[in-house]
Amino acid sequence: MRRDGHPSEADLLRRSQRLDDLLAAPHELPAGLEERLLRVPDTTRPPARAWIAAVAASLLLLAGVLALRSRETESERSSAREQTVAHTPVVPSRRARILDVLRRPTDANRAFLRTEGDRALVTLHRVARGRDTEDATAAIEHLGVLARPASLPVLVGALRRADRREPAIRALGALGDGSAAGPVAPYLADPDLFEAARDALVRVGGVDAVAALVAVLDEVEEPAALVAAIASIGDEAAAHALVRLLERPAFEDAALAALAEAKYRPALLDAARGRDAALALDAISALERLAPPEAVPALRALLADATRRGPAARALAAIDTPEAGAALLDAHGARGVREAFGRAGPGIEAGLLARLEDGDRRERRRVVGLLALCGSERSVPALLALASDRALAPEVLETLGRIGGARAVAALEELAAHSALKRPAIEALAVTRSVDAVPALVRLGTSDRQLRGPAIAALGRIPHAAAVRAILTLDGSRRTRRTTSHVLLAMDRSTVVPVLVALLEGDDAAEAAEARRWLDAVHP
Amino acid sequence: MTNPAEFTYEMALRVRSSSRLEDAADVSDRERRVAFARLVREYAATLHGVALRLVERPTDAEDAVQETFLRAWRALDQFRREAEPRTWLFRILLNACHDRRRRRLLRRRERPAERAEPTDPAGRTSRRELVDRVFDAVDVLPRRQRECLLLRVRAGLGYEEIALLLDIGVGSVKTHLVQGRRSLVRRFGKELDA
Repeated sequence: MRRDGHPSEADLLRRSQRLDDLLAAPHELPAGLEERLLRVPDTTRPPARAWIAAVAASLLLLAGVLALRSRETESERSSAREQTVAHTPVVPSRRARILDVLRRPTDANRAFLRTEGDRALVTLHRVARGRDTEDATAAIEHLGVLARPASLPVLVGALRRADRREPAIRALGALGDGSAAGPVAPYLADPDLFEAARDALVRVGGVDAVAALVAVLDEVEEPAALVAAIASIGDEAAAHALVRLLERPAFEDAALAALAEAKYRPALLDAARGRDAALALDAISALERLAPPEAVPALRALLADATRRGPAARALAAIDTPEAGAALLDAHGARGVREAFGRAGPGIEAGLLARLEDGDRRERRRVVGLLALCGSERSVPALLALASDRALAPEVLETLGRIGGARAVAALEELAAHSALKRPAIEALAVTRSVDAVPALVRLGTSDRQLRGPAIAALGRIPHAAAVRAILTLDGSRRTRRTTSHVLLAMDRSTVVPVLVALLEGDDAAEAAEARRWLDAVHP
Repeated sequence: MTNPAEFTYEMALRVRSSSRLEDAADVSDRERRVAFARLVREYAATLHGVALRLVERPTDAEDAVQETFLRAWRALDQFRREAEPRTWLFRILLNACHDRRRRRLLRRRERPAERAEPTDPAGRTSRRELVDRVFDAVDVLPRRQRECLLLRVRAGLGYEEIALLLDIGVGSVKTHLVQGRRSLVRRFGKELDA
């Protein structure tokens, strides 16, 4: 061992040798393994003999298998021959077999009827017309299963027999032939057959079936269920019927719920574009209430039609997407479209704001004007930025005034810092008609004597007690007295008088005297 | 007729080196069996001792040894004269062991339970315990180091033989041996001084 504690080379060598000794320790085989190994020659042939034996064994096996299969095949053939001879059935007549099918509707019998197809029709028609009600009923049911158009006269004829009427109605429904609607419709009036007739007409579909169902809407106990049944038809006739039902308050909700299904969307759009003007207006009204975004292209096209422009514009406003906003903006000059912006929401506003960034000055002016109709506080920053354009500033100020609210008021006060915009800003603050604008107007009127009169006039347009108090605060000179007098007289007395009475009853004698004077003027 | 008691490998090799079945048939079945029995008695324990460390289960080691001798018996006639019977058997054994390892590739290796440290109050370890622990340590060596160490130390093969068996260079064999030994010596340290 070295002094530093590390093993020396001699140590390592000695340990390595010791390791080898340990690894080379004698090893004993597990018990029985040697015996098993010594038996290997007894259980295994050397390879030269082994492959010959293997080939021979394979050949023997193959021969055995072939012989066995040959024997089995012969045995199967003889067995099949015996079975064929023993079980060859006596073939019954088709009518007998069909009657058997009708009386014992097993799976095998039904399968037979399906394979027979049209060959069974003649027999089934005969049985359906026959005297035996039980057989006839079963035959009618099978005619419904087969659903061949050729069975229509037989089934309509079966309606004359009360005992066969219900299966005949159901079978006619299964036929799905539109001409079955007429014969089936009268049975909607029969309480016992109403359900069968309704289901049959729903399966038949078409104008006649839908008309028959709509005709009994007022008579049924659950009209909503019948509207849902009509809706389940899903064809154009049903769509038109549902659109027209929107005009009938009793069925309006059910019809609208049905039309909300996507399957009716194409029919609804077709109706909106169709020649039937009344139906078109109902369809557009439905689109306005459902507001499906995919209707935008169709509604955009309808903006060109003066008779449908207003409803289409309202529908676009209800859809409230940037695409709908773009469609309205493109047609905004047309009559009826501008009003629609008043109904627009954030989607259209977003579209307008996007156009504000892209368009030229003329376009911007137009957009600013439209934002006055539909804008919200979200538009304020964009409008504030736009006010730097002197040509657009008046429109921007007016729009901010129309938008109103604390953010718009703050923006207007900020813009009023520019001398050229002071008066328009005061005017816009008046347009807000909001109490939020009162402090700003007081500050503007106090800051500049020239603006005191316009500020008082603006405050007079805000119907609030705070505005009255602000007016009295700003009124301080002979010059403004006339303006104040006019403003207070023009304001609603119910707003002005309580403020003046409160001042009259206050502790300040000067204020009370002033209030008395104004009260005499306003409310002599 | 050769006396079975005096039958040697050289005699058996005379048969195996023949390329014709007729010549091979000249050697009696009894002579073959005697030669095979001597191979088993001489090498079975060494082969099993190595196989135990190359496969995962003791039963696999027994199977590998049994398969080695089975293949040896079947291939007795193809055995080449120039090869050592020991090398030949170890080649078959390594293949058999690798086959078994591959089959169990997806299974978790069953390590022997970690042996307890010596319980002798004096800290002395009996030779039997130490041997067991050394072999446990061999089990976790990298495969090549383990193979080289076992074939060199336990089976007593030369460097060239090991290189031939493992299909690597003699230098690599020596490197693996040094690394394996160093790893074990470092692990057991003074325990090997006793």
